[in-house]
Amino acid sequence: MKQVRLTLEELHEIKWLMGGAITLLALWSLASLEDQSGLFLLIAIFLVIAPLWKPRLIKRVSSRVWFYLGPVMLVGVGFDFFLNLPNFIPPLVRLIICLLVYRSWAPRRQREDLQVVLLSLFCLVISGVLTLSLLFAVQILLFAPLAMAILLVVCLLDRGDEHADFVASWDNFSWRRLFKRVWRVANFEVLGYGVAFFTFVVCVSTLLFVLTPRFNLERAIPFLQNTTTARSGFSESVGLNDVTEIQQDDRVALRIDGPSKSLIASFPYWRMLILDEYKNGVFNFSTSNKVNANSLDEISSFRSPSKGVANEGNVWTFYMEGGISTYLPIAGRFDEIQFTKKQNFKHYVLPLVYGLEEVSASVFAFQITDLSWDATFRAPELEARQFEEFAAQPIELTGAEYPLSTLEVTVSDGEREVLRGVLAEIEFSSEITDTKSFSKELTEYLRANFGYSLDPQGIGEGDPVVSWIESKKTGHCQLFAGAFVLLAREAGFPARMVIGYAGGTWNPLEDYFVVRNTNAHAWAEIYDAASKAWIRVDPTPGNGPSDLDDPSFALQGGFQIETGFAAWTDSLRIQWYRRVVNFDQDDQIEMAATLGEVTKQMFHDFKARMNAAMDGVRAWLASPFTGFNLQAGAGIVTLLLLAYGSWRLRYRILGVVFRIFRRPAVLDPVRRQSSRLLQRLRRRTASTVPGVRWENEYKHVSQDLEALRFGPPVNLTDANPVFAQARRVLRLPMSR
Amino acid sequence: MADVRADQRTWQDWTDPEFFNESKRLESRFVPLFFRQIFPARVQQTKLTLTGWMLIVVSLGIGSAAYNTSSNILFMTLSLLLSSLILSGILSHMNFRKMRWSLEAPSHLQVGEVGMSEVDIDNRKNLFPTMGICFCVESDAEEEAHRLYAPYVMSARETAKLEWSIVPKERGFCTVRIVGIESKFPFGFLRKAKLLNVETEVPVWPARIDYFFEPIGSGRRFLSGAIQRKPGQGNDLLNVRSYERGDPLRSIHWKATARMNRLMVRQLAEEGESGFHIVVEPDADLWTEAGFERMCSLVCSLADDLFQSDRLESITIAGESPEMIREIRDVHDFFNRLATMQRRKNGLRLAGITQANTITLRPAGLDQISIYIGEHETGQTNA
Repeated sequence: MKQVRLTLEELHEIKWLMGGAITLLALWSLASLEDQSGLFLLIAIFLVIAPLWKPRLIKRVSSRVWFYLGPVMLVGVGFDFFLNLPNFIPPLVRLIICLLVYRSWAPRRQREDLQVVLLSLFCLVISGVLTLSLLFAVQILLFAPLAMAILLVVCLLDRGDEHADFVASWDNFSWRRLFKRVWRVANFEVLGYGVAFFTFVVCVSTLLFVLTPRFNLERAIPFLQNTTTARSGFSESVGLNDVTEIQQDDRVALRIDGPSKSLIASFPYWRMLILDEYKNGVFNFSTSNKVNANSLDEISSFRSPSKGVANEGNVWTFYMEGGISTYLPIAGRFDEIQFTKKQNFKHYVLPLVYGLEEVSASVFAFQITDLSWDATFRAPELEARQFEEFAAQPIELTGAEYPLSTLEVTVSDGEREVLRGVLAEIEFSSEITDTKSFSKELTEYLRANFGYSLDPQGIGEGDPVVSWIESKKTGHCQLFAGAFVLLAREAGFPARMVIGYAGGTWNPLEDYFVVRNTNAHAWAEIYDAASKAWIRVDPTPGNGPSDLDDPSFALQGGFQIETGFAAWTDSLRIQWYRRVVNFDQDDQIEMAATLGEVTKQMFHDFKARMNAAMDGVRAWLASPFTGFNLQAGAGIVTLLLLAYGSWRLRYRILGVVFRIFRRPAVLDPVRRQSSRLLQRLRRRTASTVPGVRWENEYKHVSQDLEALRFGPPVNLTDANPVFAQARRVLRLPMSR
Repeated sequence: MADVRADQRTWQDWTDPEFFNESKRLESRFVPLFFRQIFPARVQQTKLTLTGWMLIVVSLGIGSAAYNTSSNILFMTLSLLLSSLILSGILSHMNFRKMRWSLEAPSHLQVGEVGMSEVDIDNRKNLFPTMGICFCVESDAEEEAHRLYAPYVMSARETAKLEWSIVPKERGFCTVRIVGIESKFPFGFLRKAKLLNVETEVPVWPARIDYFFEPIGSGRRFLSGAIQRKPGQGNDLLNVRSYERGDPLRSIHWKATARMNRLMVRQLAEEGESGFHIVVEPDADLWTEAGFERMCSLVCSLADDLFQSDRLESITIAGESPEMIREIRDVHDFFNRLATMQRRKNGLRLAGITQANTITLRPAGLDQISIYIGEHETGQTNA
């Protein structure tokens, strides 16, 4: 039956389709870069889809266009680079987009098809390196078969000069007809093998990825690190609604891979930044804090001056999504922070805040050793001394530097009156000098008199926080924290607002902690002069007990569990980060060690079994001989002899197996036997001078044997008489 | 090289007398084995293509970037590129496996005429198709080798024929050969080639030339002597016998065929007066080199035409005994001899006409040849 095959034209059409698909894949990968080329990319996607949908469009473009477009593009791209330097990534992305669009319209021959594949690979790699996203795995898994299919079709179409300049006419083209043809021609058996081969490629890639030797990460050169700006809710200057804006976003902000679920606080506070200055509804991280920061350039680890309490070597790996903040979310004291690559690190010594120089646009991973879940933070010596000095000899606070800025109430006198009125309204049970009691009662007052809402009410003229306090209406966490800070300061307690994340959920599929942007939160810290520590206070209703001495404040392991499809897809991400993105030499060593351990264990098990077997043999020898014993012994001895014989003859056996596999014709017993007999006959003839009778017999039987050896196949039954005759001749005397 | 090919041939060929004596061929000496690892037999050649070079450059770039930056994304890409190279090698190996090919050359060629040669391909694999293979073929008659592209995809157990035409320029023997088979399958990284050197020699008959031939004396009984009762091309029925390959179709006896239910032909008694006897005199003194070539062409054309009209009795090369022409095979045998006939010196001229209707050829002028029957000039080559 004649095979149905695709025509040359159809193969070109398929190549065109796959080229378009791989171009779209490349553009999709660039879309995740978020480099402000969004509109440009959207237009490009449209321009790539257009000639795919209606390939006849490309015939309408005059060849002159391609002639002039190259130089025009070159000039445009040159200007783009010139205007954006030193930031070369956005113009580079735009250059690739231009080239891809150009290639999706211009006629493509073998070289151009290769160009499309290479450009697409470049896009995927750039986007993967910059974003470190799981999407890269999906995209590269789509890219690999597509690229292979394009290269295969290009290879099939490479039929010499005759076909080199073939250009599809597209005159009567329709995708429907092409798909019908492909469906008709498709050989599903071969497609199955294609899938099997692709699986093979994935497995081999995984093996190579794991086995490729790595160097220490400390030596790595920073490469294509894309930076961005922080979310306004997590920057040095935070407006009243900035944190609430972050809360509207349900995406994951932070994944924490810890040693155990039970080691995480029930309602952890991921402290990122303190805001000590307040003015007209905006909280700021004061300039004095920034100036006094301890800048550490190009470090791969930072050891904390205040060690974590656990000191058990527990390692917590944080995967912080890109574009969140330069400040790291840290729950409390710790021993050491380690980075995957060298970083410019900032340690804000007094406010106990840690940050980087720039905001990573992609996932940023770091590890913390021995993390504590602190609700109180011991103030540094210098800070405590300044508070003591201020208490002994108060000074003018206007424009004060940190830490005294945490005492400044920057509202009008009338508004201070309002604050004092509120403080007077609260019936404090004890002296106002006890920080913990003050905090508890102020928190209870705020919770009792104000409702929680993401849409705050009652913010009027003047200072927004004070007007909200006056209105006693609903508000969000920032208003509660802001009100607490202002009232505490008015009462004479140093207080500051803290922003970060509070709470989170547990993903049981891969056992890690998830913090979403909805967990963004603002709370307060109040300074307790007695203990010389900052105490966390969360006045927002529903966020834990108001009493700081309440034991449930430090309750562990009681948070919500994530379930469902979203949890599963998110667990894939953590696997991606754990096993791919952060796979390094240590992991390789660990794997090798595990393998070594397993092998050692297997050897021990084997040794134990052998010892047990030897004991059995000894017991057998020691036991009286019975029929069964002797039979078993004979069986074992035979097996051992067989094993020994096989071992001695291993090369011969392997050779025979190999030859049988390679040359199944050697199995033909008739040809083999006739060959053997012929050789014996010839040897005998060569050794002596034969007699006439023998010679006649020899001649006769030789012809029969040669017919069996070289002639058409004969079955063994028919051949046996000839063999018998040959043996008879061999037995004949040679004399004349 | 030849040894390697012979070795490969006997390895699979069960008709080889040494087929079962495997141990004798195994090389056990260290030095030859060692050098065979370093300089493998050039049975297969593999060259990098543009795509292959690009893969290497890209892999090197990504590899060095991966090592310098410790980016696992780059390591992952590098792994994928390398694994695609491994897959490419495996598929390329499988593509050539269980492929059989043979060269079907024409039985003869003729100068200036188109002859068709073909390569028969057989994909004996049970599961996998063979894709994108190309045969490199050549012949002595042409300066450049041809590339014969097999169908894009040859499914398992599928066969195909690839044809190419040959137009020889001179008589003699023409060697037609499959130089090798090559493929860039699957991804075009490597051009993998196998040298085959399967060849066969094809006789090239002299070219046909235009001539006129008007045998004035033919059919005159006074020239023929007595009627001979032996098989020939006369008018009297001598016998009816079974058809043999090469018998002219017009000699088939249809009534006898119908009766016997097998092809029967008339065997006529030889009369002699209508048949001609061609005598070829390859005498170097008689013919110049160009004249000899022209004479060969004339003999070829004349013999062919006379046989087609059943009027060729025998052909004699001077100095040899006459060859009776009874069937097409006899004519072809003569043409095969004509393909390699050379001018010879000394006494290879016909001593005298001994038989009626004997055709001899003589040079006429610078480049013409006259056709004689006896002493009568009955034709000439056209200018």
